[in-house]
Amino acid sequence: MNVERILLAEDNPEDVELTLEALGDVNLANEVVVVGDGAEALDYLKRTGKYSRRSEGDPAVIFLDLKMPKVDGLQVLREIRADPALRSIPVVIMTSSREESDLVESYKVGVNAYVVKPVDFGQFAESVKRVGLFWAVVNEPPPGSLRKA
Amino acid sequence: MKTASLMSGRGPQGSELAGRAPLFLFGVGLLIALAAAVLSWLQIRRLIEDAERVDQSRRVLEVIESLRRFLARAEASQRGWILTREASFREKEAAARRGLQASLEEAGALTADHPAQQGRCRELAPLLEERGSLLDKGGDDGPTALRERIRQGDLVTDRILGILRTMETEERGLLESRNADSHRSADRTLLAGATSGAVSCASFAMGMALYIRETRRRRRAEAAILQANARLEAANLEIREAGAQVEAFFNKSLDLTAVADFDGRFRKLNPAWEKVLGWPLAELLARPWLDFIHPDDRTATIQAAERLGAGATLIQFQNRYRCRDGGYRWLSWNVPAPVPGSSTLYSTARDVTDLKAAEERILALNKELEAFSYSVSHDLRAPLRHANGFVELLQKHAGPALDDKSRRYLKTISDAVNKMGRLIDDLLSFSRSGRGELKSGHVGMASLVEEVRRDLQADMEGRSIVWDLKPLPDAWGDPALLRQVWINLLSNAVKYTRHRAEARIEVGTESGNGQGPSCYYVRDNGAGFDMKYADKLFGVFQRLHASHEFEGTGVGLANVKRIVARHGGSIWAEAKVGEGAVFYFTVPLAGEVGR
Repeated sequence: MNVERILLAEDNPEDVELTLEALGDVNLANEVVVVGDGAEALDYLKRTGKYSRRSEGDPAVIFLDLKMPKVDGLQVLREIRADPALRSIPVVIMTSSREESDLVESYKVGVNAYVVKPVDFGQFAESVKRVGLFWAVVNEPPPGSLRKA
Repeated sequence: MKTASLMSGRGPQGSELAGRAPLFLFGVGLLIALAAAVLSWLQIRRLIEDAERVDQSRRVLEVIESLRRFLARAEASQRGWILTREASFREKEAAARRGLQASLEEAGALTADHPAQQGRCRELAPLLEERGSLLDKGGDDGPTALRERIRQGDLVTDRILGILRTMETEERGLLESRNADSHRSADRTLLAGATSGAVSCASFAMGMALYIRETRRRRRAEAAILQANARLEAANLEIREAGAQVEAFFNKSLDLTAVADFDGRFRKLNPAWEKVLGWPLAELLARPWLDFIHPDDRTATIQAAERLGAGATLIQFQNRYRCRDGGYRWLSWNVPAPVPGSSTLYSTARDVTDLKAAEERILALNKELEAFSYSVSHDLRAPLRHANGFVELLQKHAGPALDDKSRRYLKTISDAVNKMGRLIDDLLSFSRSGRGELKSGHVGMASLVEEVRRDLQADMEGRSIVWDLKPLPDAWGDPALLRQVWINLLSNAVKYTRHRAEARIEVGTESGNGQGPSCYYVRDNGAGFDMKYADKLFGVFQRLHASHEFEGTGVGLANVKRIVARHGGSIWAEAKVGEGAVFYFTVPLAGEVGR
């Protein structure tokens, strides 16, 4: 059984596919759980709504898109950091936006990393792989996170 | 009145004293002259008295002489009578005796002031009587008796003559001393006259001199006063004119001018107030100004007034004033700090309602633009990434099965998408460089250039480039934006020298008319361009080279120009086709701008 150690919050199916494709190259695709918007991401993390029955354990890292329907990435980040049970989970913003205001705001709220997705797929894939490997494999997650099977 | 006050204002008592000096001297001169006159008069009187006494002595001597004469005549007559017994001798004798009598009386009168001579006169009287009466005693004496009588008569005569001699001697002595007295008196009189004349003349002359001096002085002072008055008059006129000008300026100003106090009321307003707010001036003056201010702006306005009270100057403080029709107008205030110790405020306000509305529109537009570029940034790049991604995936999956043509198509799609991505990035950067506030500070241009050059290392792979980096003065500006300027200019220089065996890139400053550095420049020996098209150089999407020759989006220099312009500077270029180009730009230098 796969351990879902990476939570990918991304509303765009193409991006999801490309991200999974890249992560597949480093054998991490199977450990990803995908949610389509911020509200779903919070449900997953807090085990509410359709995720009220999911098994215990927090993801080792959350990949968060900024621009999502319902609840945007920044808001999700704020709620994670405001929740004592979730606040130590590493969060990586993965976005198309180079806007400085987004960058500043994200770090203000307490993001762990901020990655701008390159247009060139080669570069994009490279970034995703590195980020995935680092946070899900190299980095030692906080206690209570799901460990590699 | 002004003149009087001017004079009294200047009036030291010294000049009054000086003014009285001639009068005083005249008085003294007059007194001296008077005293001299009195003295002269006394002296002259004494002179006359002395002369009279001299005369008196002379007459006494004359009288003595006539006494001698009458005595001789009386004796001769007596002798004649004795010899002839003629009656005529007795008559002559009687006449001589009367002469003697008269002369003696005269002598007594003349010597009244001289007791000794008087005594002698008294002595003479009985002797003369005795001598005269010689014939009266018995006229017919014999010759012996006659001889006796004559002998006795001679004795008396001798005594008389002796007395007369004594008198004469005495009187001559007197005459001599009186003569001397008289001469001395005359000398003294002359001296007194001369002295008093001289003193009078001297004091008169001094008085005159002082008078003339004083008159001149007064005339000069009067001229000065006249001049000062003229100046005062001119100054008054100027002040009145200036006052009228200030008044006109105050009243005719299109801005709202106001004189106010810290008591919360206006003291004076110009008609522009009525025009802008619709209230009659009287109403604006009658009520506290806080009544007219928008409730939301009151706190800020009170705080602004407190700052003024603390000595601050108010620049472009904005608040809303209620109009008579119920609407509000935005006023932008400029109020200089009140003069220390004064509570009067001289302020001008401008109706900026329209400006505010325009500002708000611009803000709204800016917000919209921001949202637009955000959307471009996020939403346009995503599909590009996807297109690119799936082309890659397609190549990966179907790669071996594809023929060369299909692979070339895929590559063309991928290149086009990548170029679109760069265009979008450049446009976003261009859009960003025009927005947002300049975060100005001290910028070390030399180190910035060095950093940018290092960042360009990848583009210089396999190239031979000679860099000539001259010392650069620090600038005052937004470091991130100025960095963008250097990135564009240096990467252009690297790019357009690509075909040179040895590229030369020089960075430095040029000094304008010897007054220190005026502009930065980047010089290269690259492809250059035709100056005919220099005006297109800095336009967006304008390119002077084909993209197959030198790649690019045509946004870089437009971006540079905008950044330089935002710093208040300018940019221009000089070039020659095939020889290279120089780009010059100015931005504020750190030394020129105060903190």
